[in-house]
Amino acid sequence: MQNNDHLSSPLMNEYLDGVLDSQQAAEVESHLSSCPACAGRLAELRLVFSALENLPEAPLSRDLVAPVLQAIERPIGQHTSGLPALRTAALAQALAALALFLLFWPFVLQSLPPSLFSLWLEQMAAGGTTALQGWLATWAGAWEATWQFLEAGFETWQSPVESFATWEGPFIELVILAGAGALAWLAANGLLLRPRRADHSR
Amino acid sequence: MLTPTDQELARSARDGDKAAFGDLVERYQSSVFNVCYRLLGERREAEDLAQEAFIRAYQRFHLFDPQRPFGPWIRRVAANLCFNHMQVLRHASLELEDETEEGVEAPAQQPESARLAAENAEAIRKALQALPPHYRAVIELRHFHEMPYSEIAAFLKIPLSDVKSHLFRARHRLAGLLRQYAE
Repeated sequence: MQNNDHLSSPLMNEYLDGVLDSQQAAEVESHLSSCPACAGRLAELRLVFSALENLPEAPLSRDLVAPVLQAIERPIGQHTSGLPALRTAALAQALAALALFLLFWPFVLQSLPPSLFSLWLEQMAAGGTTALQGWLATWAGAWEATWQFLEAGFETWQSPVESFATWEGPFIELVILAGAGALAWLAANGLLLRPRRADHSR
Repeated sequence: MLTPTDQELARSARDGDKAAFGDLVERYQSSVFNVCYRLLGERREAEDLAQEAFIRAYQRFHLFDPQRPFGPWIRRVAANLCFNHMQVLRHASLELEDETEEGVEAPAQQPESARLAAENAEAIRKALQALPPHYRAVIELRHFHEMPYSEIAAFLKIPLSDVKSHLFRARHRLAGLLRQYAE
């Protein structure tokens, strides 16, 4: 405990914290009564304790009650993490995106490079006479065309640059449509503009 | 009409009475703000985190036992929030010590004693801000939350030996800083 007949810093701290047992405390007090150096060090340490204990509270510059009450939206006890709502929204969006993809794939196929477009045209020619039959045939044909394209795969693969260099499809329109769709998705999910965390009314 | 106790307000708030929670906020907003101010050293940041502490406390209020004193509990919620915030700031390499402080404007004429007291308080806050975050944390919990060493260790998830080491070194450093500011 003692270092060169003086009290160690940990011992002094523990003494002031009141965590020493009665015998240890008595030994410390006995030493302090005969050691001016240690008594001086303890007095300086007491000043720190006193300064901290007497530190006045700083006043608040604004009231927190109103913003806290505004921020409280759910009753206590209700699940507040938002995760189920997020999962439901994400699932709904995924299903909607899948449905759109399946429904409109033939039209996307129409807009793709000529090699696929020609395959799609062949399938269209094999379709029925009514609008529904035509649509069903188009849909089924488009998927068949897609499968054929995938099967052909790397053998007939044309680099995207080459493909789009000769492409006559509505590329700009597709880009605009895709961009607008992305912006709409971001805005609908609150990702486009982030709300401020605290309302500072000063 | 008798003023409701903290326990009564807490029970009402836990049952969904937001106005009761608002009353608790009103009673403890100053002390919670001061927890944050001592740890962060920046007034607006401290007010924001104090506000956030009450909001988070409300979200977890169904877990709070109204028999427990509300004040120490909410102050610990605030302290924990500040510790996490300080860790984030440390990772972002922000210099807390160098922040210029926009203090509350002092009245034009102050008695000498009040002026000296304000200067003294400012010196102590400045010294606290000069400490590294982990020293500031143990000082806050020991001196302002009166936590025993073992509870500080559990709260900060550090060994007991580290708590003592940080605390004793922090006090030693504070003593030197206060001596320096007094010169």
